[in-house]
Amino acid sequence: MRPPTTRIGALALAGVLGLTACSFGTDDRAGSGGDGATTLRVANPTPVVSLNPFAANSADQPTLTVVQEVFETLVVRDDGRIAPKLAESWTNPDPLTWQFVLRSDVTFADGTPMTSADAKASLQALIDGKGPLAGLWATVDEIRTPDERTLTIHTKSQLGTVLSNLTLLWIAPAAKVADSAFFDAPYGTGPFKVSSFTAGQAVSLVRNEKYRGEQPTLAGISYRYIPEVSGRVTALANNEIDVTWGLPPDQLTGLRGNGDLTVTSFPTYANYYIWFNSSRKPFTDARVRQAMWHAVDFAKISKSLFDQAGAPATGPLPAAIFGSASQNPYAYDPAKARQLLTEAGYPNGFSTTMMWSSGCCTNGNSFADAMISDWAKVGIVVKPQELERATWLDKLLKLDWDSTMTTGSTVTGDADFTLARLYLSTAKRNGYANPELDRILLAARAELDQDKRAALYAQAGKIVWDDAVGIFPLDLNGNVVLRKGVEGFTPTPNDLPDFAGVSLR
Amino acid sequence: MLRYALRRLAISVLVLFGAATVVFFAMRAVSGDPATAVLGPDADQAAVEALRREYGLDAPLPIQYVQFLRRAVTLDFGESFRLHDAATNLVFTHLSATAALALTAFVIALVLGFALGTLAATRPHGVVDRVVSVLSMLTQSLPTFWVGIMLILVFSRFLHLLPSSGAASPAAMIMPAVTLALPLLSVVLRLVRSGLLDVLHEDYVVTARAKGLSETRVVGWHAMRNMLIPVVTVAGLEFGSLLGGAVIVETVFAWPGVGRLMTDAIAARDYSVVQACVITVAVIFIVINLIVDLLYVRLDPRVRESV
Repeated sequence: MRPPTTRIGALALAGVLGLTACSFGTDDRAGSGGDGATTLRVANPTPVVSLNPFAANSADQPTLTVVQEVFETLVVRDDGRIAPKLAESWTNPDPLTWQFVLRSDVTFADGTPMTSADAKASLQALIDGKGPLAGLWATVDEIRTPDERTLTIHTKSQLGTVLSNLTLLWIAPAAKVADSAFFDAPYGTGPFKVSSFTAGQAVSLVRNEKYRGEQPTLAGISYRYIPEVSGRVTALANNEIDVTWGLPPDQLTGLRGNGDLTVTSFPTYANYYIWFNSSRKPFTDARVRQAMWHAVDFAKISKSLFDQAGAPATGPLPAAIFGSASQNPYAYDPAKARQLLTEAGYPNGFSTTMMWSSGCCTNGNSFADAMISDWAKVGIVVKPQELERATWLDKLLKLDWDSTMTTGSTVTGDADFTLARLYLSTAKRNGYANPELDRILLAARAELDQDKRAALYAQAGKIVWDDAVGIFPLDLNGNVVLRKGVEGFTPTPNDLPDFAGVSLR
Repeated sequence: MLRYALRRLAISVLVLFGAATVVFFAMRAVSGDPATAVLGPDADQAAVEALRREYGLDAPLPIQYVQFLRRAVTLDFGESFRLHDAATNLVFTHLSATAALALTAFVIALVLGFALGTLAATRPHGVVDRVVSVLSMLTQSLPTFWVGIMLILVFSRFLHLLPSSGAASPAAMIMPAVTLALPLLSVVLRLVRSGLLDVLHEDYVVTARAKGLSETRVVGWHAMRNMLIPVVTVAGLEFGSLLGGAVIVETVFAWPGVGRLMTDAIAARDYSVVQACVITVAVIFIVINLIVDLLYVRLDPRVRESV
């Protein structure tokens, strides 16, 4: 006889399996606009933890990616050149004064007109917010608003980077800039406004009906954070999202063959670099640093690890940046590396360490392994140290390291942002101190003639490169993967994907 | 009984105090400054100092500790450095997602575990029993993150049945809940199977059958009651480990729960959120242990008498 308990068990089993097999299909893209417009579903690779463009997150890629759809700036960088946006024109009445004439037809999403008072309050908020961009404005001593359409910025010393800096000054309503609750669902003068925001998880944008320009064809944009790369790739292949970016190269290879997807790669303002602590032996000697560079076959490594993910660097800054210039390449030459080591007093090489923060860099661990094995061939034993980001940061700022690998982006697209921030001797970021370099960088910052400024950065770049403050192997490409049907997307080198002009078929 | 409950309560308070102390000092023993982690390498030193003052991180450690304990009593864990919200709020908003996930996983594990365990025990060494043993060994030994990714591949990528991540629809719950349930499922299953097998040979079961009771009543009532005690203990304790497993499952499936909140907070040295999360999880652990102990008293007359 069949025991009846078998039936109880079988019934319960069938019940649970039946429940599990049910699939509840949901469609979360139905748009709010009556014109059949739809919402673009975006998965960002890093979490958006704040929408406040004036405080601690003002230089964060995830924050800026959303902020750029909501707020606008006085000027923008368009194909490398500065172009007007909320400001119509500008002049320098004297070398310490910048005067901007603002457009008169701009309103915020709540209908109030944008005036010079809003621009002044926004700049003041950025300076008072003491975030990573506040330093760009350290020499500002007075902001005036002679009338509703005129903004005057007065500096203590000449500041040639004002226009570049303004490309990251987002204009928010003066009455709201100090109100932290406003940034839970902020609005500005841009094509979209925030309808909901859960820090670290999701942001939803809807059209700003008061936008002065052409209305976007999208009803809105919904961003959500999917931490795992495999999760993002699956969501994309599965039509749960329309677009994502920042995928590692090994994933891209598979996606290029998928007929439903379009993979776009493009040059960015970001690059890879390996710094040496120039205040610590043996890296106090430039010959040792140069030997490290000659010892590694970067052409071979980048071919195998970074197929379409980057291009060999030609200088310490990626070519798309204002003020970048081509420098003399370092050849792969182990014999020369050994000779330089001998001249520096290390004929048998030496032992040292290289740290990086885990997840910092595309293919970082493989890249480190490859360099370390090349260094070993000339007698340099490099111990790898992969650290958690907070720990890495702590050691980095205390200069408690021998060498470090990282990637960085010049968010303003202006050489000053990276060169003056990292290589002035007062910055104390890598132990390198060179009065000549300091002089050039400060002169460049004070130069109002943009062509002369670019020439000065070319000189500064040559010193950083030839003195091998670090190794600059690779300029990084960005990538954006879109589902077929997402049209009108144009990548920008700041690697902040902008979807305002996108439409969905 | 009352004295027993009171004694258990007093021990619970001590355990909670211990957990609070350990998490407070452990977070501070790890290198990495929260203000620097928030502001990044480019913030100027004055801004970092200002933020440290704002969050009370400039005070001597013992004073911070006393302050932390005093405020924790009123469920005030301070503000998140990273997400700019009260840590208590953040934990509560994320807790419901984790609770839903853990409870669903718990129910799946119990129902399937009992069903499969009973099936296996009633026909020992039969086909069902063999298949179930192999499955239980696999589900116990396969790492959770791997199982999660495999489920995503099969059910989302190839079969297009279930959403791969997020918490937008009820269907999104299925894969994370199953992934989380599997290790517990195999434990319950094996306990039920071996417990039933032991009990089914006892004299009282023979007596029950001899009385002419139906097999359903013999197994489902007489036998089941006696093997429930070890299952309740283990299931209760393992509910706690479900919360631990949630940390991994929530990351794989982008599930917006406490586990993910906590991992992100640890990486960002967001002390207040880590402390709030750990203490909340500790409270849940303690409450479950209490419930398990009290359930014992209900289930086992011998324990009832001794307390």
